[in-house]
Amino acid sequence: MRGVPGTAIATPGTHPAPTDGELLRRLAEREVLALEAVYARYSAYVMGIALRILGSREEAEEVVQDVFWQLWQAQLAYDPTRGRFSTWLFSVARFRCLDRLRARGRAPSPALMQEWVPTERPIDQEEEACLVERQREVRAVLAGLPGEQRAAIELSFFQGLTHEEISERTGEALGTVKSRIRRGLARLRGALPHLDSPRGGES
Amino acid sequence: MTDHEELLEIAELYPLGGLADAERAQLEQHVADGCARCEAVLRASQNVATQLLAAVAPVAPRPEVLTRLLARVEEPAGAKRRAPARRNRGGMMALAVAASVLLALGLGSLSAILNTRLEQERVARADLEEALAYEESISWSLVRQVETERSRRVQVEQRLVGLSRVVATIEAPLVRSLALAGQGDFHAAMAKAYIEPESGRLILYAHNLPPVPDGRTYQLWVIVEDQKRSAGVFQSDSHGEAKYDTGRLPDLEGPVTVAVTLEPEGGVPQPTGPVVLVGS
Repeated sequence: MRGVPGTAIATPGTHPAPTDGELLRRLAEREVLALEAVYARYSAYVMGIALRILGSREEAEEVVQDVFWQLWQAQLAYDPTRGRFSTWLFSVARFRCLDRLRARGRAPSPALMQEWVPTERPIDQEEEACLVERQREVRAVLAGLPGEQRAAIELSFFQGLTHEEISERTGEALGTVKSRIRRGLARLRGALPHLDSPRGGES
Repeated sequence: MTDHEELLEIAELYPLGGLADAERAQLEQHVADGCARCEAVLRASQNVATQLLAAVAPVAPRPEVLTRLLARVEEPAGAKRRAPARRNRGGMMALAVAASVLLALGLGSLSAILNTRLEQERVARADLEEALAYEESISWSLVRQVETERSRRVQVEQRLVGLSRVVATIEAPLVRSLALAGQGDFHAAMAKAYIEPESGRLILYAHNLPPVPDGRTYQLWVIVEDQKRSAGVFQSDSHGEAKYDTGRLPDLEGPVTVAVTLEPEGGVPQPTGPVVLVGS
């Protein structure tokens, strides 16, 4: 079952989809429809990240529920002047998942070496369009990385392993692990535009 | 390799995780001490990390997840059970871990989250105290466990204090905002100015600005130490809104006052017309 795009429950008919900012304002006023709309827009992304890190559908779904519940409870404070809502939300999701990995003694997820699988999703509003575009670019750059660089990045970023643990696991020197990640990072940095400016770029 | 090269390396790796605690602590301290170069490296790397996350293929959760979430949301307030105090003990570790990564996240914006965390920490601590008292009262065999929890709590607290300093330091130069209030006849107008000292930009968002009469324009002023400098002219749209980006301006690092006046078309070297908005 691949990602259902932002079939925004709160925006039936021909109305343009509300912006994230609008939805968050309504969410702050505890409007359930706004929660549903934010959920419709982003739950599949949060789920994708959680599944990738945790490798278990049940656990990933618990993270999805927790993250959106905390958003509703205003336990997570997002500041729109600092960057995109999506960026922020995805980071929160990643940290939640790494917390869980650690709590369960960090068994590696089965998705360990899984490639980034491109999915085609209908584009129904600006944020979504931007995400899709970003995914395409990042995946293309990643696909061009040597396998060992990509694997080292995967293990530290998505599996929460320390460099030392990666070194133990792969039997390579600590310095090798670090320089692999750095080389991969440098390639990515060079190839990716800086998309996360405050307020999400000019409109 | 010099010490600083090592720190730059750590800064580069930081947002992708995997560092040893000692390395992280070393960098956090170093950035808190004000190393702009390491901070810039940290930011660039953070950008890559956020894009990696956004590139993960989406997968729809099963519909039950939304059903459960909504059921929870619609549960009447009175029915909300307070989680038993002892359940928070697991949460302490999670908090410690979360705190350790807050710096990376903080680059996105997280003093607010940090404050929330601090608040949660206070609640968790109160619950922990209850749990500790309870456990102490039931069994001596738990004393050691209790001691462990105590020292862990102290560590978490120290870490949070350190991090709040770091996050404040990192965020400070990123974006400042100031509110501008409408003056006199323009009392209904309001605006917010965002200043990015790094890029030297100022971006003004204004609301309820009356349409300008023919031959007139709004002009933005940046006032530093009583020196009024024009930052350009702009118009409001038919909804009375205006967004204006000054582009690069000097001297935005320190305290500034920002004002808008109504001036003859094309602008003037020094303000002459009525003050519309002002804030500092």
